[in-house]
Amino acid sequence: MNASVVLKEYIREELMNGSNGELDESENLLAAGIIDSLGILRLVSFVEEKFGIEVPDEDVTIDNFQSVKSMSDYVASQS
Amino acid sequence: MTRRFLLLMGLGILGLILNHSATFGYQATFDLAWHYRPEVAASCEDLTPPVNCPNYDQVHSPTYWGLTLVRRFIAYGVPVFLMVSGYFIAFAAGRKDARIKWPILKARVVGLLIPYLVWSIIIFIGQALFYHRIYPSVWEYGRRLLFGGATGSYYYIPLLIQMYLLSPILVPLAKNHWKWLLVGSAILMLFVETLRYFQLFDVGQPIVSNLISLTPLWFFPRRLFWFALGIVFGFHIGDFKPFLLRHKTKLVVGTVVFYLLSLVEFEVLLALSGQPWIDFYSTYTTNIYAGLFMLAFLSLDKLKLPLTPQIMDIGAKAFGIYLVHEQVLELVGTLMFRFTPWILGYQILYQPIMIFFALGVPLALMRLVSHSPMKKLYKYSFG
Repeated sequence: MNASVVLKEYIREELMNGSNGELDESENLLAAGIIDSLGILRLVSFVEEKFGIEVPDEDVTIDNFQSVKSMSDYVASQS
Repeated sequence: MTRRFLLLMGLGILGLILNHSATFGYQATFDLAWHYRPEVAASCEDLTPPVNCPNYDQVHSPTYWGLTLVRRFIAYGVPVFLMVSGYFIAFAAGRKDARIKWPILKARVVGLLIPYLVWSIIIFIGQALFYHRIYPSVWEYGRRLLFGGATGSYYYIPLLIQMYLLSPILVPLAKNHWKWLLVGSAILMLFVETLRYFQLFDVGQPIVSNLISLTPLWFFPRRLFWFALGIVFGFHIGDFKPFLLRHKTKLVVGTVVFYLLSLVEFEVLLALSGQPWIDFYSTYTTNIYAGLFMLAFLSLDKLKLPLTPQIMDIGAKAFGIYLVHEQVLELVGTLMFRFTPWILGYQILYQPIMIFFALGVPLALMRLVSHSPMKKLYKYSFG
């Protein structure tokens, strides 16, 4: 399963509480209110656990975590 | 470090529950002693409800020390929440651009406001039905909604919304002039806290009382420092992290020393006040301890706590737990007051019962909603 699918599933299930609504890969998750202060902490933890990578603090940036696409690109760059 | 923040949030919300439960414990030990101790009831002039017959002979008893040691230890609760929120703002602004965009702020404010309003209205209805607590006018309800007055801890939401709305000003300062921002907000906090010391010793009246009425808990000056610290930390984490790692021993020792000093300071203030009891939680040393605790915890990146996954899971649900826990404490406390008043005199029993329900009921409610057809409402009820 590719990173994008895994991330979408996690976001839908955990951050959108099982919503079946559309989740565009490029959607800004912060502006959509899906990622909040706890959400970003949970997402980074999930990425570390699920993909077995360590996300350095310097990489926890809006460029890497603002959308499903940016996250999956980041994961791909670390794998 | 991000995982440490999530763990810190878990410790923060657990701390908040312990803090509020201990507050109920003080109330049970001092203000409600007449209800389960016949000799105290006999000394009361009037037992007509609402009874006002506090008894402070338990100050400095083992019960008192148990509650106080816990309550002073978890003083980091609100500072943790504000610091993590500030850290999020630094993330949302972007370390390069350092510009927070309005749609992100709007989403955060709306995300806080809706569950807050939902629970405030539920609380108002519950207060009217169960405690016959009805406020005199619609304006009073409106005022309470505006300033977080539905229940004691709700001041935090209007406070946090102010912080978010101030963040377009704070972000460039945190990026480019972070030392000035921290010093300025620390001075502001020091000034506001000092007013409380003056009031305790009746110095500078009536100006001090007027200034205190202008700086309530829900107003940003008293807590701005913690939010600013989070933003600064987020922007300059590359500089802060080596500093924390280099000074971890000093931070841990400082945390222990200031925890002990916070206990001593309160005892000195209590003695100097000449009163049997004072409601004075936020002292200088308590604030320094809270800051040191957070920094020391973040510096101990290799420290493994037992139940870490469970605490992180609780941290992830912190907002929902925060919204509900205080009402559960009030309800469980009221039930014990009515049906098993003797437990109020045994805090070793009272506290575990209160904490169990204050944590368990919000978690059960959140699980119920998220696993039922009502799951679409989860976002609006627990954030």
